Amino acid sequence: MNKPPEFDPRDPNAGSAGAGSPDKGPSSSPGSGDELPSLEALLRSAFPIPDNLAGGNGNPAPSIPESTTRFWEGPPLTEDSVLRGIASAGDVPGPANQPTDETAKPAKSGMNWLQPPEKIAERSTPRGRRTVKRIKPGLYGNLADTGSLPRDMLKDARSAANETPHQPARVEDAELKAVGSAGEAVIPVEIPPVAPANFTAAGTNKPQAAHDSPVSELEPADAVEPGLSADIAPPVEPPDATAAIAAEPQSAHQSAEEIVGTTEALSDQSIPLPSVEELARRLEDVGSPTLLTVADGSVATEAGAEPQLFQSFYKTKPRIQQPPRIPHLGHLVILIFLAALGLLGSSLLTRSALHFHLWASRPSRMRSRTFTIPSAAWPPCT
Amino acid sequence: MAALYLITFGAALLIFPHLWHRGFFSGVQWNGPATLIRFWPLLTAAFVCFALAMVDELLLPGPTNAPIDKLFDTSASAWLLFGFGVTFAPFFEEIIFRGFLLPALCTAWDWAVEESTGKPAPALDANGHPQWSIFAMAIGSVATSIPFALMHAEQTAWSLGPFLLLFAVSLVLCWARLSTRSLAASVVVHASYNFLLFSLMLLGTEGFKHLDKM
Repeated sequence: MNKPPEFDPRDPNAGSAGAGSPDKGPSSSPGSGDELPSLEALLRSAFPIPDNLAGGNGNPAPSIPESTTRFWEGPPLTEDSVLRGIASAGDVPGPANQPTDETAKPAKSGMNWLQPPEKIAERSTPRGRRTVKRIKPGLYGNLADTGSLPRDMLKDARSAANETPHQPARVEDAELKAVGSAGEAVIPVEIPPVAPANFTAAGTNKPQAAHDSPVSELEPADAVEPGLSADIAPPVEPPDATAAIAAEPQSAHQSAEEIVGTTEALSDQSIPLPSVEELARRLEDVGSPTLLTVADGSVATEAGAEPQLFQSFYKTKPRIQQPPRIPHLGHLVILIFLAALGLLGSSLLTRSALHFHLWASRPSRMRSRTFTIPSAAWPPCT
Repeated sequence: MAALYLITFGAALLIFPHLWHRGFFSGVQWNGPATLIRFWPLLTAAFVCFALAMVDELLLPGPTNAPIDKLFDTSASAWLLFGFGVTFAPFFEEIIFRGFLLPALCTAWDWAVEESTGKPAPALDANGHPQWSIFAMAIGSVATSIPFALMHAEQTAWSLGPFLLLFAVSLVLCWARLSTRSLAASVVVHASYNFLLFSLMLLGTEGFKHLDKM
């Protein structure tokens, strides 16, 4: 006998599933003996789940972001509640919509604008803040927002993800709850090993992947350019260590130490440089002016320490031409030149004025008749 | 002297706009509105310079028979010097020293640092004027103040007290020019400082009537 879920007045979403509906759970399978189709079948038929959630396109590993995953903590959905939700989406009976007793209303008074304390208590958290209305578990919103997936669907997706290798370790339910409640991201303590790429150059042995993954299913010819088969592609002869590493079956569970060791082994191998003649031929082909020759006609290399003639020239970077900063020293020189011209002009002007007796110095104007006669009418200068 | 200033200024007005492809006053960063906004702080700076002159006169007084004192031989020449020292002299001296010499030295210092270190030149400001480093402004202010004080040293008979006073006053003028990015600011401070000095002389000589009291 199924019992109706208890009504929790503190939970604003408590009534969304419908009070009194049988709690059969959304995870009931079609073979459980129910007459109605299961919730999962209903959800998948009416509202197709995206591929990245349901593991479509042959990929059994759904990618659900861990840091943003939240699930709805309300009562589980049932068939009746789903149907009711489809019929009247968003019309959820809750504590605020419960029929109230008209006789219980207080008498109107001058303080009518103040809400009764019960209503204030309903809207307030213990800290006195207003509650944040949670997202209604509408089906459209749930499917569009992975953060509000029902718990059972999330659990199915998580179990499917755990069965698939090469996926990061999932966070436990308690951590997921902490994420859902606090809204903070949970960083997994253990960093999963990175699956090495299975691409190899043409002509090498095909690596054997431990698991079949979309990446590992690619043939070596797939890595070659389109239009070129593995046979046409030029063969690359790796060094010995590189060939050994390439021929070694690369496990999908290769640890970080092995990857580091592989990198070090590759770095130890010196890449054979082309000969000097080959370099000179390539430089001539591209018309580069960096080809340097010494007296004997041989191409100079760095080992000879000879070709440093134009090194600074080739190392110079193209400079961006900026607008001139004015005034600079050149303008100052021009101003000095103009001042010199002004000094010359002023001296010429003074001399010409003295020549034409426009002014005179004190001794000269004391002696000159030109200045003494007209100034006789004025008070004498001291 | 007035003829020298006028001829030089007229030639500069004709030549530099063609070189800069902008107006002369815009090139020397005249920026008059910035001066109006900071008028009272600039006037305070002029009073500070006047106080420095008083302190210098008490501590390191100059010679009594300096060449500049001979220019105040008559009342007319005194009034002429009063007008020239408050209007023409600050204007042209500031154009030469704070309008050309100070920016050129700051730019030259920054350019030398950029060439030696390989750092890129800072971008011009919104008005197309260069932006100098603090060190360049300090070096430029000192390097500008020395010739400014030397130019007036002949008038003060090469005495140390007036030289130090003029050096300090020039530093204040450079600060006014660089802090406000306005050449008009240093012109206002310079003119106000000269006005305060001449006003004191005017009061001491009862309107330039008793020039022997100077």
